[in-house]
Amino acid sequence: MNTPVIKIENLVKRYHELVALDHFNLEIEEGEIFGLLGPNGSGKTTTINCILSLLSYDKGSIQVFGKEMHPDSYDIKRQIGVVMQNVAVFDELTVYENIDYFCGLYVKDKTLRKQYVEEAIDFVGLNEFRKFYPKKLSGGLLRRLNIACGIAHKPKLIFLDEPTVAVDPQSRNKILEGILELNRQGATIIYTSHYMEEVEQICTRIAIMDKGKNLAIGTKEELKQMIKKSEIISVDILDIAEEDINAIRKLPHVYDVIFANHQLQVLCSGGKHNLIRVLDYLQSRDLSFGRVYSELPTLNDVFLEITGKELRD
Amino acid sequence: MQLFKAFFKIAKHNLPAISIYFLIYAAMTFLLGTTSQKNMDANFQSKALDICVIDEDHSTASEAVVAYLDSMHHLVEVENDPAVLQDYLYYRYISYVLTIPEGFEEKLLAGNTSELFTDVKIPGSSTGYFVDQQLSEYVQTLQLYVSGGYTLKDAISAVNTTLSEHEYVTSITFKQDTVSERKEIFYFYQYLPYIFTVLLISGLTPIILRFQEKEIHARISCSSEPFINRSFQIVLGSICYSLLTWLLFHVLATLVYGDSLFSTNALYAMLNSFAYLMVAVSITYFASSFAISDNVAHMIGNTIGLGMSFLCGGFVPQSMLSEGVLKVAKYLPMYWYLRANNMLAGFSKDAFDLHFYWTAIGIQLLFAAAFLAFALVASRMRRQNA
Ligand SMILES: Nc1ncnc2c1ncn2[C@@H]1O[C@H](COP(=O)(O)OP(=O)(O)OP(=O)(O)O)[C@@H](O)[C@H]1O
Ligand SMILES: [Mg+2]
Repeated sequence: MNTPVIKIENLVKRYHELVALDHFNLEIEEGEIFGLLGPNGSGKTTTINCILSLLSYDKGSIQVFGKEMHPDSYDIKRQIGVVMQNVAVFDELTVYENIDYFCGLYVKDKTLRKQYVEEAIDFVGLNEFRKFYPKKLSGGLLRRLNIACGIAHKPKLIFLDEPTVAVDPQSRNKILEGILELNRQGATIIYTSHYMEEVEQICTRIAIMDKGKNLAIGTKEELKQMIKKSEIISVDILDIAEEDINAIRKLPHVYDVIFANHQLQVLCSGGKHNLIRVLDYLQSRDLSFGRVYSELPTLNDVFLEITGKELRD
Repeated sequence: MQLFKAFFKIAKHNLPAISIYFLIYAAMTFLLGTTSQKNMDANFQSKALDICVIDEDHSTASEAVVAYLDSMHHLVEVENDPAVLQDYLYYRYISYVLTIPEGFEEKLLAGNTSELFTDVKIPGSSTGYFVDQQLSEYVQTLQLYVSGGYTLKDAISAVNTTLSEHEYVTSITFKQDTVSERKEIFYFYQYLPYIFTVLLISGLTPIILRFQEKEIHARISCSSEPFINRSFQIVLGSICYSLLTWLLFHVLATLVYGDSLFSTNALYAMLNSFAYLMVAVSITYFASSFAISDNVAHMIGNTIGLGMSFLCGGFVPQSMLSEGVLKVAKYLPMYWYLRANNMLAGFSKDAFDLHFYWTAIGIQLLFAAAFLAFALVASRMRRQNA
């Protein structure tokens, strides 16, 4: 097996009394888009800052590219790109100058850097705005600039800490596409968010964290299989007798049935053909029904079940 | 040199806000430089003054001093009563009162140079300072001979001959001297620490702070640029910024005062201003080791600049400050800068004394080192709390 790009073992980080990371473990393979999903204050940023050696930690070990990470591991840092949660650019420099500045911290060769900066500007679509000062950019464009500053030097490992907070849908899609593109070009990506739709959309593997602990890890399908609820079948129906409800409840994989407001909801756990079985039963009882639809669980359901609370407050 | 380049891009961006200070100062310097020039010439014409000497020592040395003054000025007999003397001064019957205190000869022979005399002159007149210089020249030459092994008597006659020969020479070079050494230069230097303090604290602090903003600092720290390079570039940027500020004011001074900026005492004053520049830089570093906003930096710059100037005699002569204020001022770097400047200019009772000059420079450098040390401690503490 390849050495993982990142390997965290038993990481403990305390801020005075508060335990921000509690024996946290994580392994990330090359080529992944890895999602760190957790509510506010769960320790996502703290995890990233520890990996980057921006923070010292109390216990555990962190390896990046198979080597112990230290504040002066400049050869490792050379291959890392960081897009912080909050926009970090100089208000006094233009779009171009900002990207050139941050790229120049990694790339000393002037011609190569010029090429990289141009590519980064193209990549985030800020070509028309290259001479603008950050204060003149909209929130979405500013986020894109923030990303360009973090990735211009073509890093092999990229951290994106909630890069889409407060961004309009158009910019958001552009950013997500960009992340997929970076991944296609060979970068391993670590993406934190508390928007589960985004994480579902782009991440190959996801860790769910809360209160500094890694509660579950896997592909989104794996995560969804971990929970009991895997399908909700809703049927619009005028009325249904109590005995029919009880009969449906006895069908295989069904673990709960709710009837309210002329809508029947059948909660199923895993298994196939649940929908057909429910409809067969309704027809066999000669019950007429309207719209029928089936919903698969979201990561929010997963989160709700694992932590007992909603992802977003 | 990414940080260094960005440093000056930010500086350029902040320039308009800062240049207003420079413009005002430049305008003031030009005004001072052109108006006071004429008065100065007139003042230096009158050479023989009406002087009252009160000799309480009655020693060979004190009598020699009296005789020396008598050879150049009119000595006037006045009753030794402060009120009477004050009146005489007020009505310009006399322009200078010299008291030679008891123990003068002993002090002189022991090689002491400070506070040998007490004197009172007409406030605001520059002629009195002229007498100061003659006196300090006389006493220093005398001490030179005595320390060279002459007896007091021989020393006195030797001094009288050298100075009378010398007198001839100085009266010729004297004319050049008025051209080449102009008092306004020392006024220029008197206000300079105020402007340095303000310009550096409110101009340089925001630039340094920009690199320390939490997010930007994090981003820079994550990069592969080694820590030592980063710090070096910021320090280099600050040094260049300060040097440029210093140079700019000296270019301005050269435009206004020409060659006279390079006369001996003015060169000492120039070096003194350089020492104070170091103090201002280190205070700036200290201020920027706290996360403050640009506005707070401006406020701190002005408060420290104005406060220190008032306390230490930047705006009013040190001689007019109360004992209490001076006691406090001694613990401030600008006090030492100004004392050295006053001494060079002849604005104070301090006779020219190189030893004192270097002490004042040394004290300023110590202040600079102390602030720098505070800055390091403060930024370390901040990093640990992060
Ligand atoms: N410098 C600090 N000092 C003290 N406590 C801190 C500090 N930084 C973070 N914390 C605390 O540590 C916990 C984890 O914070 P962290 O920023 O890692 O969360 P997060 O998952 O990134 O949250 P968000 O989604 O809001 O960005 C929070 O409870 C936070 O209050
Ligand atoms: Mg965070």
